[in-house]
Amino acid sequence: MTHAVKHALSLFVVLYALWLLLSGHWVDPLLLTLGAVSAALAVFVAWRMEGLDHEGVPVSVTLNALAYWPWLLWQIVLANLAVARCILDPGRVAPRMAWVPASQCSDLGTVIYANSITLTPGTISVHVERGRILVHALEGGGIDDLEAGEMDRRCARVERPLAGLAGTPKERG
Amino acid sequence: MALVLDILSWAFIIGGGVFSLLSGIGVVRFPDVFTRMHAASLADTLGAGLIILGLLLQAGIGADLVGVKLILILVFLLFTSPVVTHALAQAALLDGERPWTRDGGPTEGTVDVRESEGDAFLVDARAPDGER
Repeated sequence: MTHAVKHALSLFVVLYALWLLLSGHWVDPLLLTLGAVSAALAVFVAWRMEGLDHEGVPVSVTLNALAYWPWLLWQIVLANLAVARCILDPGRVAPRMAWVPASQCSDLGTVIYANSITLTPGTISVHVERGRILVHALEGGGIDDLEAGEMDRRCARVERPLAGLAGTPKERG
Repeated sequence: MALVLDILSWAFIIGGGVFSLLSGIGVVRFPDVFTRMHAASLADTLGAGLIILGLLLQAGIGADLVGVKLILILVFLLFTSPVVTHALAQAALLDGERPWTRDGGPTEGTVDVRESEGDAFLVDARAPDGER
């Protein structure tokens, strides 16, 4: 089974599950068939747009991403409280903008890291290059925390299934 | 049991409302576009998250799958909002906006559009009449 078939099948399964959950139709065979047809149509369009690769359908990193989310959500809560404190006391605001190293080897991993940085209030990824991210932080401590590298390591762990095929989506099909 | 659920869900909804309000206050109070975006992301994350959590406790999963749709709203919000924030911050920086700092000096790191040769995206951002 080639990678393209694997990605097409998993995208179809995910889309059909989404269709079932959103529609709530479980019994009518006509509607179930129409749902399957529309899911298949979406997969066909994705294939025509050459979106059926490890970035468009990131099946291999899904489990690792699910394991990463609880930690990320907790960081978001902590960062929210820090920014809320800044809003109540604007004297604490001391913005910094600096480059932060990003050790991920794939584009997908870098995007996960940059999005995690932006998702935690108090830090925004402004520009992404290979191996480093320009971060704007509301308090200087935000940059120090990122430089300590905890989030960087965890994002590198999420993309580990992609190691070895970094930047070569075309060869992988 | 229903009372406990009601109290919990209202606590979550009020908490989300408080964070959304703080977010609005921050947008007014903070000095420049970048710091204001930090304040705005408060409403995107905990503000929306707590309100949806509270609504989820009110609705349950429900016969018509309302709960599933609420969770999907939160998931899509968490995936899309950082992309928008990143695009906005980058557009502001490439357009010549200089981040406000406490001592008024330049920031440690920055992107100089005029000096970048290798990055096609940055070269694109270099508008012909964009000399500031």
